[in-house]
Amino acid sequence: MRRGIALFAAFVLLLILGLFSLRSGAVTVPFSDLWSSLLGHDTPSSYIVLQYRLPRVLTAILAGSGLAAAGVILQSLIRNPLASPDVIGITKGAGFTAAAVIFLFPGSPSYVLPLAAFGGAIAAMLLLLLLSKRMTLSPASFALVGVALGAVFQAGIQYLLVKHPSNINMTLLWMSGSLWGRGWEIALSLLPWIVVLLPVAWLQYRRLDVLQLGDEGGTALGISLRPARIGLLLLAVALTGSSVAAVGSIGFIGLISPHIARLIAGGRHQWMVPLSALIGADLLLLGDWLGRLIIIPREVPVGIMTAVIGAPYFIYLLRRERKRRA
Amino acid sequence: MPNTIRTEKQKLYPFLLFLFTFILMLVSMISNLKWGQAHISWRVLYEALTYQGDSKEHLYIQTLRLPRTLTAFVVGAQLAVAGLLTQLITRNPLASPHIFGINAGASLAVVSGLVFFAGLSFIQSIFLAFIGAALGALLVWALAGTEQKQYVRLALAGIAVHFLLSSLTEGLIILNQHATDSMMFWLVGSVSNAAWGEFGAIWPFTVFGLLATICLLPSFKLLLLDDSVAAGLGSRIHITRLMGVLLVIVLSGSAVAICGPIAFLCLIVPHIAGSLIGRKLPLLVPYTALLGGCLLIAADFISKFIAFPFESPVGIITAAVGGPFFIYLARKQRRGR
Repeated sequence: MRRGIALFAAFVLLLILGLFSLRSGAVTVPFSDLWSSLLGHDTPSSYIVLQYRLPRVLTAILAGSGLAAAGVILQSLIRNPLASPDVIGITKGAGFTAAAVIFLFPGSPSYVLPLAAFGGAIAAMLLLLLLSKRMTLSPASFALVGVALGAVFQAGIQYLLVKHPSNINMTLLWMSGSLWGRGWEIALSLLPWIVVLLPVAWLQYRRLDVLQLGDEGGTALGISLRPARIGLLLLAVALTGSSVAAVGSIGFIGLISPHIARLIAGGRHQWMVPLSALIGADLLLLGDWLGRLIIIPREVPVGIMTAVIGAPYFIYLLRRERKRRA
Repeated sequence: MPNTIRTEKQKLYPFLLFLFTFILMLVSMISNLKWGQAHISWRVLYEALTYQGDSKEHLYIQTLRLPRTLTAFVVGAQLAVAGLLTQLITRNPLASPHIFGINAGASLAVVSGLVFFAGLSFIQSIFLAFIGAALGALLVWALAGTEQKQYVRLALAGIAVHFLLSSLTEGLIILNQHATDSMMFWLVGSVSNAAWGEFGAIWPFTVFGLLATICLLPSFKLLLLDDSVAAGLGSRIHITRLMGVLLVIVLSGSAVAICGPIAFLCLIVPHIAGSLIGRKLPLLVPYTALLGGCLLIAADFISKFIAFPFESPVGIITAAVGGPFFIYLARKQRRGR
């Protein structure tokens, strides 16, 4: 019951934040105009609402839930509360190929960038699988291999940045993650991925529960570990890759949403997956909304906002967890 | 008879190793002085180093390449020793100031200093870097705790803090678009801008840090033991550790303030040094310093040429070499939890 309420509350929060995001920005749209624009009537602000803010809000919701779900999967897979798509290097892989496209093929059409980012995420995962001896390593070593891989990709990004100083701001913006100028084509290209992958992730909740128990427990309960791990990793990469392709490498969503969800709903993935997806979407919307309001008319990239909101909370959570265990 | 030969050999081996590394360092130093964007002949090089003649080429050597090479040596030595100390304190072979958010904290402090107070002097930015480095270390400690043998927990906490601090740094840079280029260069870690001013600001910290490390060696030796054993031997383990952390902050903070967070050097050099010369601290510490300086000069030399005639920051080289090495180390750590 309590979990149901939490889920409902997160959903209501999502609606409220969505409405506020639609309303405010460099131009504030009054609620009455907002309603009639959303219902399809022609108002002075309907262009802003329908063409700029609505796809942006939609992208934020989709990407936030995708990153958060990927975080849940990875934390169960690696059995470590500090795991997340950024930590194991997948986002950096996506960032590297995206930066390569921005710098080496500056004239390429806009749909190439997300495709390249997705390819980078896949490449990072393949490397990770190869280096971790096809997932036979212990989860901990696996995470460390991911960390190092991320650092190597980071070096690649930095090389490109330094060699082509003219595009630095665009790349930095992309690397820290931003929802600026995300239109319908991006929202619609992200939509099918998330709509298909989120339910798939939810259906894996039993496996996620069991994997968290540890290798022995999993084997005893009759799960063949390696195929399960590879399948789940693939799922997490697809979720991360498609989200990062749309919004850039936004950090901390994948790290803290699962923690908040676990705090509210306990460790059972049946509830954790949907709840943390909703919380991820909430956080991303909140970050974007605040980032637009702080220094109008300029924007703080949402990736920075999520780091500023997320990090202190994350530290608080970890300290709490440590105290409870001690 | 064979026994005595072996002991002779054992005594000779470290000496030869030092000599060899020293020669390597001289070679890379000289090549760093000789080759670069401007063509310099051997004759001019000799004249410049002995301060005869004052043509343009002489000035290149005296005011650009010489301080740069010396700074590279000093910074490399500092970072390597800082890495060794971190690994000793945490008893974690995967530890380094870079992975532990210390470098990221220092760079955040320096960048915010540059953004908010224009015209910082070197000394001021070094002290800012100390504050930032301490902040980074504190955060990681708060996240990971001080339990023993929490290798992975510590590493993951460090990387999480690293991401947080560096995303804040990126945010500051995005919001202040002027001077992005040079800041980017610094942020990756580069010695290419080092002149006599930079060298003059940093060498006292090197001398202080290395001397303090050597003076504290007897206490650090106890860190190699188990906590309870060390306490049983009457060592105040917490104080030793605190001193170690302060030294790491001084060493890597001042290095970051001058040259930016140079990645992975601090991680790999102690390992290479350890496998070459053994784990005896009185030999290991000076050798690590020498090797670190030597490798950073060599990396700086390579970095001049990967995108010739443009300079690339040396941090790219160290990350590209150090990352795979870290993967190798992580794969060796099979049993860690």
